[in-house]
Amino acid sequence: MKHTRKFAVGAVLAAAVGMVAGCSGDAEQAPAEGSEGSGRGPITFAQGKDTTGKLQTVIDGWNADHPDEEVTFIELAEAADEQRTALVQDFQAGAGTYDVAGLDVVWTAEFAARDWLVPLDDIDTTGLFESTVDSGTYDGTLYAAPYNTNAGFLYYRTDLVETPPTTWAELEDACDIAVANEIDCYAGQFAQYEGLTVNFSEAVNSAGGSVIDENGEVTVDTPEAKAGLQFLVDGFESGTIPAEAITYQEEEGRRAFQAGNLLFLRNWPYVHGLATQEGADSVVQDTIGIAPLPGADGLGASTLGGYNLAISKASENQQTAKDFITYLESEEVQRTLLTELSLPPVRSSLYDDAALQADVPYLATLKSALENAVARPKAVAYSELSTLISTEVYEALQGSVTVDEALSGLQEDLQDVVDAS
Amino acid sequence: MSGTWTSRVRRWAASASFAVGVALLVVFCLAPFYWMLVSGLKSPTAIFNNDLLPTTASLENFAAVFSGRNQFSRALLNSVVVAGVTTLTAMIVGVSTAYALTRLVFPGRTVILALILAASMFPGVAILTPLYELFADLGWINTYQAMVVPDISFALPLAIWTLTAFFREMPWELEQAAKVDGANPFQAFRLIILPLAAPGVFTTTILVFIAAWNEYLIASNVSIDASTSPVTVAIAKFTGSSQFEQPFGTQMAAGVVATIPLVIMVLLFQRRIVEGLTAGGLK
Amino acid sequence: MKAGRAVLDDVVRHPDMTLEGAPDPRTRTQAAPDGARAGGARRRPGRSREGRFAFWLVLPTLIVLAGVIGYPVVRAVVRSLYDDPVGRTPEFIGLGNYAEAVVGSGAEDFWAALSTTMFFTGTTVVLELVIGMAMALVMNRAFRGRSIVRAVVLVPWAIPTAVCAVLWRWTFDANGIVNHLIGQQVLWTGSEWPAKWAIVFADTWKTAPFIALLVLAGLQTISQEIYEAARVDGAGPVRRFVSITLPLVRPAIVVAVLFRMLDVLRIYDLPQIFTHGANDTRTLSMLVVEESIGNLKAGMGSALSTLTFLIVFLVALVYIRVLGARVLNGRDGGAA
Repeated sequence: MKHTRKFAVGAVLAAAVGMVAGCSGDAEQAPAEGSEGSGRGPITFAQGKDTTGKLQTVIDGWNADHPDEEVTFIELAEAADEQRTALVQDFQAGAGTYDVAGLDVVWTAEFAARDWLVPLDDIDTTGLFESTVDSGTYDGTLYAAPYNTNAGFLYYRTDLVETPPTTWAELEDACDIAVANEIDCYAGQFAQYEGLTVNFSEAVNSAGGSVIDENGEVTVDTPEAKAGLQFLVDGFESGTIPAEAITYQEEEGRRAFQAGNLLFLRNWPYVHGLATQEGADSVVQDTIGIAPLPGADGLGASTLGGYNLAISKASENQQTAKDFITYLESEEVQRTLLTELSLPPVRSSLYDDAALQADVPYLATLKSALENAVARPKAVAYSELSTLISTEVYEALQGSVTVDEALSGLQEDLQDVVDAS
Repeated sequence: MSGTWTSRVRRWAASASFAVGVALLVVFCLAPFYWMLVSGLKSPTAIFNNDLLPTTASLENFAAVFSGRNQFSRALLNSVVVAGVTTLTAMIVGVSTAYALTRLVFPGRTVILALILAASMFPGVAILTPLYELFADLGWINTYQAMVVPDISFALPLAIWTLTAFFREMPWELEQAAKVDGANPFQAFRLIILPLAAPGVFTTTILVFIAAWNEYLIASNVSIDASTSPVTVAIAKFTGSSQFEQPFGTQMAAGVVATIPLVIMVLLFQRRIVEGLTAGGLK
Repeated sequence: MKAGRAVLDDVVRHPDMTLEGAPDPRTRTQAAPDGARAGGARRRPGRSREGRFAFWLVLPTLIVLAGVIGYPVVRAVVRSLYDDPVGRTPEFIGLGNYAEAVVGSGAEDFWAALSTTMFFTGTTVVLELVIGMAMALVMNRAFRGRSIVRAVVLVPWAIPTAVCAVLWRWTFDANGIVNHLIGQQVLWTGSEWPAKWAIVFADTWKTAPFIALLVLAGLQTISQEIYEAARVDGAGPVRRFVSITLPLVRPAIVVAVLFRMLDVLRIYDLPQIFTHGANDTRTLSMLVVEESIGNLKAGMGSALSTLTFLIVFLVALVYIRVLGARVLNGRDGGAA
């Protein structure tokens, strides 16, 4: 009996220990050997799901010309958090399940610094928006090639507002119209999540400040940053921004605007397509206006969104992967992205195309927004910074800390993270 | 006279309050599900109203769930396979372990029970990373076993502990008597314990099946395309027509579609499972 | 089979099983181990064979758990002893990550998450137990349509967790159905206590059926004869509930509550989708995900996982010691 027990416990331990001993050799996060993966052959391409099915057509186009270098499309979950989980697991393990992956613009530095991505300096980026190329560059090297981009708009009601405001003061004045019509005035994305970091950065940039300047210094305890946050805090206090906007992500704001409960809305271009769609449950179907974001003394600056393309270090067919990325950046594919998938392209010439401008009414506004757009901080610890920002800003919007307290605390916290990494 | 009257009132009050209890229970459980159904029935573009009835009932969301791009029927099949194999294996392994732990005498049972329990104490995401690495090495990415094996291990602690609780309550005298009558331990278990513990075994089976059906974290990382993706993963891939649009109506419709078969299966199988367990038994 | 039925009838008619024994069912279950022990002592060689048989029955479980849980857990614990550098190989730092999490710069987040997690655990488990018990008692009565009601109770538990969280987010939206029905605008996700209670409510709704089904199964294994005997003896419904029902379903309740605790101590999806951790609703598991996937700090994430594990273990230990000691006891009576 005694020996049975010992044996039983021993077997468990042996099994557990044996497995650990067998596998812990390949130390965690060991950078996968990348140099030998420069070959050609079939690859996979992973990005969030595409409901239109048009992306598969684009990939089929490639496969028809490259029968020996076939691309398999892997659709990741809809939520960005979950796409990130899948990619991190695979990159960390060096498993190479995903050869080419669509990366949110803010992930580039985080992933590149951990040596998970292949440098893409030999990819030709001429003709692409400079800001998008910059968003894929880390430490002077391109690690993620621009794929599609995004910028925020100020949506307004053309039936109630004649000329859209270009400054915050004008916006606040125009709120009288909202009061007269018994609707709310302005909203963006103010729930505590990545969207709040975007909205806060926009406010700071639109007041002439920055979150982290070009020298990598944290600059949120400045008069400009304070002016930016003050605009949002004042909005909540005066009721210009409705109290419920503290729960808004993109969709809540869109619903309020489409229901006719909101005069102005900061949101991405996707709202235009949905609000004007035929048969849409939208009171603003014919009265939706688009303008660049207003700022402190003149037009503001949007935060840059979008996705870039990167190659995993564990990929075995990196040459094919690079060629495929070049294909996705070709004018032909970029045009399809815009017309069939409603994704803003990164090739700037397309924005001047008269045929496209006729098809996509917001194209000109988007171009000027993109030209002024500011990228979020490029940091090895971006997520950590962003969490700190959204947490602290959220408290300021709720009124539980003052603007000064929030920003001086944030300055310290961000500096700590920047110093540590 | 008045005595019978009061007792009649009392009996009436008792059955009335019982009926109220049943009604409350049904409303509590179904009201949110009803809202899910109604939301699924609204047109995909008509998302901001709180009408309790879908005024313009539209099957568009349900059609979208089953549209070719989502491959939802395939996902349902994958879920049936993964959850089915998981449940069958986990119950066979779990029943024998629980039997050994309660009806047989050997040392170290408490330690083993504690170890088994400890297996469901670690945050899932911490298990995910090493497991993904292991499965990638084994070439298991995008296979059923990469979901079935973890699902079994997630199910076992619950199954074993629940079954243990039920088996332990079964009278010893019966088993002893059966053994005296010449039954071997297996027969004694099969003919005496299992039938008596049938409600417990049945409930455990359902709980294990549902847990496996709803597993998401591991599945979403190891099943990368429609050939293996279960329902939970398929739902997470539902998108609107653009990056930020949340296809709420379609997700709700999918939730309904993922839940109903489960409940129907339980309804259909509950008699069968219970009959199977008690067949040849005493009950 | 005839023999078996005779035995059962015997037991049913056995003096121990009638009223004298019934109000204190423990005498029934306690008597058994003693008898078994005596029997075992009489047949030593048989016990050794029994031990070997038991070993083979338990082995598959241990192998599966060692491979799928044990191995990753050991890996995570080892990883938690290394730091999280960028661009070089992790270095051994002993308990550095733990110190950082508990008393260092991560302390504020850690203790806040711990207290939030404990709040969710305390509230949901109590509510689920009360509601689950009530559901089980209702379902245990024989009435037409009982199997339908049982299927209905299954519905909340059967809805995929992520879909359920999205449903509640929508339901508790500023312009959602809940506010519509109560006729005022509560910002459920916008401030601390509404958010916390909404999460408690959503979790209770989803998992009370889990407890209900297990308790119901426990109720169904109680033989009706015991109740009848008690009724004959004049025991009222309350007395019958307290003296017969509760003690006999106790094992089922103990296990159901135990597993609910293990689950809710690791709660992730619901608060993550509902509030993203805003308004002090961040739980320990959310912190783990934030460090390992968000901040890409595998070492710190592993340390937080291990801490979570230790906390869950401690809670389970205290719970079993206080409430369910008998659950861990084997046929020998005492703990092995």
